[in-house]
Amino acid sequence: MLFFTVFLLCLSLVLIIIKLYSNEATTKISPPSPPRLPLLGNLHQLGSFPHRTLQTLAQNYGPLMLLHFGTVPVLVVSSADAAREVMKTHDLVFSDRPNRTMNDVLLYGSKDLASSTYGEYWRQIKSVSVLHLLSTKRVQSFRFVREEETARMMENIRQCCRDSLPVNLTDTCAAVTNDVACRVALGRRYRGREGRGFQKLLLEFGELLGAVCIGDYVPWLHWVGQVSGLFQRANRVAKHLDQFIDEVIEEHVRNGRDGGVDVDSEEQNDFVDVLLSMEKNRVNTTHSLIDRTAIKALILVSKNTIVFFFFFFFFFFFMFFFFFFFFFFFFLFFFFFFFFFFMEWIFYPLVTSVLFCSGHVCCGY
Amino acid sequence: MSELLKQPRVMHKLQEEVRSVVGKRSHVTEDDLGEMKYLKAVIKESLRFHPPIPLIVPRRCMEDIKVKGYDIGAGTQVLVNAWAIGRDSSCWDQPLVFKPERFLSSSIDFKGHDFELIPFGAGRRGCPGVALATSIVELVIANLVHQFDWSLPGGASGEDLDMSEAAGLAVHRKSPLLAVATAYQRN
Repeated sequence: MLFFTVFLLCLSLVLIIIKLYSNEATTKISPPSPPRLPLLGNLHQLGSFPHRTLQTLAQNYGPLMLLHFGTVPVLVVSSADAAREVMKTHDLVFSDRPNRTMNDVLLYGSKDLASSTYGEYWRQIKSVSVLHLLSTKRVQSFRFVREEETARMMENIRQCCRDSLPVNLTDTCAAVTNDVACRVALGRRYRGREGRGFQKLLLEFGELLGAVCIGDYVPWLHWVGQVSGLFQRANRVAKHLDQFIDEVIEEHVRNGRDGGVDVDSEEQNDFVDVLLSMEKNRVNTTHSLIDRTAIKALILVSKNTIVFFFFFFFFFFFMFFFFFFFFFFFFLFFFFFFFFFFMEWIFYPLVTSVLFCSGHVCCGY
Repeated sequence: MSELLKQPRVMHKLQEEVRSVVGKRSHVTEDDLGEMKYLKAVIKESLRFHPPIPLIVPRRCMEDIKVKGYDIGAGTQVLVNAWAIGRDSSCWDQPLVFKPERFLSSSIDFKGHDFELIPFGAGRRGCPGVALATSIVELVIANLVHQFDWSLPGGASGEDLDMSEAAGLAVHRKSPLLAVATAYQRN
């Protein structure tokens, strides 16, 4: 036993020395970091308004500091100069996006422009968006929509004036932005009875998209999202939104607006028109967002991933406890075994009686 | 709008500009917006002082790299604090004051070339919809201040306005902004 302990101590000493030497050989200069907790890293320091906390931290640690959110290293950039380094000088290297569970569930497996990882797929959808959906020409083509919706908003405010009521500017501004976005992307406003459900869904969608899933930073806490009901909510919202988008596409197809439009024309076509017509003409759309089968498959995959994680977690949870107890008793047994093996010449009568009693006789005695 | 209601001086200056450009017409059209320099300055100042997404959507580093002498490992996430940069006293004079005039004599824009003002990010992962977003904001604000005079309910003064933020994907006002509108009568 003593020999074994000494051997282990020597081994760890050698390992520590090797690690120290290897660090010296390839010296890496990390950005300054505030002290952190073992498992959570700096997560506990963020608070409700991370931008404010991070500003305070940056005043102590500088414009480039390295934090740890759980197991994930996070570089926080807090000056214009450092931002230029990241977003201009090394733009390409920093062009990837981290994986987020919420994006995977809500955005068809992160297949949208904002959250997709860097690669061929992202380059394709980016070029489609920049050239056909958000081009100057396209933005100008919606001028009429903007002016009409603004006029409608002004009329609502005028009504408040007549009734001598205060105007809820937060709501009216949100409504006008939303109406314009709906008309630009989907072709018409979604208000009234059918719109109410959709507005509620969009609010929940926004809230969930911003929700932090602790499992993204501390992988072994992934089950928290499952237990708190966050994943179930996200899945429900994703399903309803998918149904809604299906209906919108159906409506466009029914009205015979699929594929009949010129994607580069200055005519006022909404985003669904443009994408459907690109799908039909097979321009750059091998993985396009509007491929409905792909959407369904992606949703299914992301849902299955969650269920998979859930089972995976419980599997490991039980395996962990099983092995823990197994090794614990295994160790206990060997400890006593060696102990009695070396000591039997002193405690021989005791050994035989104890071994007999504990039923270890069959193991060698 | 909150900042405009807080600061009547800025509101009057903006109304003067918008009303002088529009003249006798009943509403602002997109053709008028090009001439409204102060309006654009007000919107830039709002985005500097209250960026809607204060921590720009995180990026991820794809390979080991050296930035400003520090080694950054592949897989490191990057958070750019646009909120802190907008309030950095080394870039801005009096950063905690809402002062649109600072943009009248400077060419700084939010399109991703000037890193002091990056509410929409920059580079490959910068927001591609900036033009769509600003077109509607400019039109709505111009029409709001052109067609109405604004005050806070119950005669409250601008300093009383609660400006606390609510957390979320995009930071927004904690309590909704209520204001009293009076239709503007052209002489």
